[in-house]
Amino acid sequence: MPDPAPSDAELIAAWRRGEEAAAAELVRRHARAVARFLSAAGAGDDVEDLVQETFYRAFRKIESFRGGATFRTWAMSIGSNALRDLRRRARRRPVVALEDHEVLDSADPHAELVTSETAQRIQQELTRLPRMQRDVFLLRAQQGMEYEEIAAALGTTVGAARVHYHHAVQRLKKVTE
Amino acid sequence: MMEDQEIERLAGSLGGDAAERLEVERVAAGVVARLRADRMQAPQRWRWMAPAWLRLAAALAVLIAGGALVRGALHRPASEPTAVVAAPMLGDLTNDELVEVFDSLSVEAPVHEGLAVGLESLNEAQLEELLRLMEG
Repeated sequence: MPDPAPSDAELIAAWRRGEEAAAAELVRRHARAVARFLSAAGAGDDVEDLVQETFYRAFRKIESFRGGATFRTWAMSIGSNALRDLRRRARRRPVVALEDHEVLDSADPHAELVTSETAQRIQQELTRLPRMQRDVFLLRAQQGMEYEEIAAALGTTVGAARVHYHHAVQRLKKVTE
Repeated sequence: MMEDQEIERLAGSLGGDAAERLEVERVAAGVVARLRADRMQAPQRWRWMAPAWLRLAAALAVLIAGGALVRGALHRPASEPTAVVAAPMLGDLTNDELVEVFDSLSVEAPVHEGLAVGLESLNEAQLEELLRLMEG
């Protein structure tokens, strides 16, 4: 019987001992989820660079990972910081490529177009939301995380996370009217 | 207006294409390469920094020592002589040399009670006595 795949905690411990393969495996596990998060947050064409930067930063400061959130959620919060830093450096709004929007399955071309346009509006509005609102909303709506974990990863309280989520949904609903 | 669930569903679909297109192996290799470079640079950086630390420590030591000297000089009561001259040696000095010693101590020619004469008019024994008095 083959050994079960090592847990994130075991891989993190292995990386702390200096095993590079453990770091690579953690990247393989979580890179796509982080890419989805960053893309929805407005990373545009910089997604791949940002994902790399995210994991590089995460492993460099792995000592500060306390385990209150999962490694993936923690990495996403680091990715959010990396995106903010990139925007500061670039001093420009991210370009949102149309092909980044997933067209939902639909037999009706018109409905498909409307949905796509709505998704585009939501994505654009997401880039304008306050960072905490955006991150809470994406972690909840896109990644399906519980408020407790979101609060731990973003350094806020569960109550505040709920409020941020509510405000984010209200703003996004307005742009879909 | 859309329902909350619809908003969530649409938001959940965002970024899917970007995630699909991501070259995960390339990202993993890039991360590992950067981390490895960091690890290799760390000892070199320490070697480069060591002389800098030594220089800093030396400069700090000089500053502390200098500060202590200056503070000691400033806090010393003015009435005390600023240097100690070994009394037994004074007997070997001429009057002129003794005057020079006083000058080097930055002490104005002292005037003691009933003594309103210049240093040059004192003999060796008187000068020696005078120095002893000043040294306490």
